[in-house]
Amino acid sequence: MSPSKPEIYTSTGIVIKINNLGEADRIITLITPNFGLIRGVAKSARKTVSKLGGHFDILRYVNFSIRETKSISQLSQATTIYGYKKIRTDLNLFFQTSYISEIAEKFSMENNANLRLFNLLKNTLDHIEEFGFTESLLLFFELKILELNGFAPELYKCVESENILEPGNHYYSPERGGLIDFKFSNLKANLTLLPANLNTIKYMRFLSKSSMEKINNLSIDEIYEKQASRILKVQIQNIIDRKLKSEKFINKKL
Amino acid sequence: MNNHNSTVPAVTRLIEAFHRLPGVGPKTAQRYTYHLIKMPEEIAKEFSEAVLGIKEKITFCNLCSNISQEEICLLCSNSNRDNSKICVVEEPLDIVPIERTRAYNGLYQVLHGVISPMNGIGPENLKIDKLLERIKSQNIEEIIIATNPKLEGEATAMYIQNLVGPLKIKITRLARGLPSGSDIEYADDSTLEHALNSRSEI
Repeated sequence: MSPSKPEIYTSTGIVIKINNLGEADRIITLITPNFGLIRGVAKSARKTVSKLGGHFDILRYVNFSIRETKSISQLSQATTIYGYKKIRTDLNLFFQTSYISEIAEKFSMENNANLRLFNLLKNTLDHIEEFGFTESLLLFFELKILELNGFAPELYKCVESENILEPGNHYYSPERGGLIDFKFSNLKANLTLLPANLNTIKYMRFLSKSSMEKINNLSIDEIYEKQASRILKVQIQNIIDRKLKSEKFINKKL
Repeated sequence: MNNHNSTVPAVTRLIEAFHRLPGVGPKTAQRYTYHLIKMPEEIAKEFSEAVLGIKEKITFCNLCSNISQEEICLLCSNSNRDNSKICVVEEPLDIVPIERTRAYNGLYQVLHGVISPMNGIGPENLKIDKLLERIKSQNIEEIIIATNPKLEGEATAMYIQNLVGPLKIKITRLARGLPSGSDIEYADDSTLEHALNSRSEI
């Protein structure tokens, strides 16, 4: 749980969404290290002389003050700590990081600190800013965010029989949250069973045990990468019970 | 909405209608409604006709997608305007301040939004195809991109630049820098960087 909050406090956070409110205000959604997801109003942020507008933009890591009110909180005194310039000036990176931010938002809760989720988001954005985007990095992020939220995919045992899986091609069940032995193909009638090739399983196991630095130069056949990507995306969709709006943009090459 | 202290259904209905407007809370909606009740009948009638007229008479210009009462809006049909320039804006409302400057006499293209992956809005949901059609069919020399200087506005500008760039047309972006009356102390790094890069000799 989050520490109890004073009426006025400061925090750092990554802006993940902005929406216009009324004539000149904006609702800002941020993921913070100590208070989870925060939604607040930045008064007059749309005005050209606003001291807030430039800082409260999507994908900015900011320091800000927040005043709790009976209705929606009010945000003020924002300063940018880091602006992710490379991401902001590359259309493909913008699409890819939008998807990452949307997943992080869906797994964050208001007033519920999740420091590890915040660090995962920030480290992923930092990594993309420095080294660029790779499909492996996205899969690593998806896998880690599932693990952090208690939905780690079972990659070693069959979730049907609970036996250790023999090396080979198997299935993945998003409903059960793990691999299912190939011999249970009859379950297709009741469950979504996604194909999981031996190499896909090895790849996912490696990602699960790996660190962000280690996957930098990881090279894997596109077939297995796509299979792992489908498994993780369907798994996330199954947990949050909806398709992410930004998903269709990830592979848009512009 | 159930907390509108009115036992008169017509009053409740109007309060609810006002409450649907952006930036109008329940209290303001209530104030508007009670103000209308006190209004002389002919003014109230004029008000309701104006509201209805918006839906009956307003359409979108076939060329620039701005709001219009005709198939072609007044700006596009004005022969005194410079039809070699198109200023690309996000919303019809953005045209108003640009026109107020009297510094621009070209045409417009309203996109009706910006690329926003988190809201599921992609280039195909905007009026970018109309812009391309006009570039190909008219003798356009310059495209001025006037989307808002936020990440989504910049992404939309980049997308248009990628699309129009190969057509060998001049593409410009509204300058960015410090607004009049602001303090450098409070400027964000991106605005300051743009202001420094676009500094001019005095």
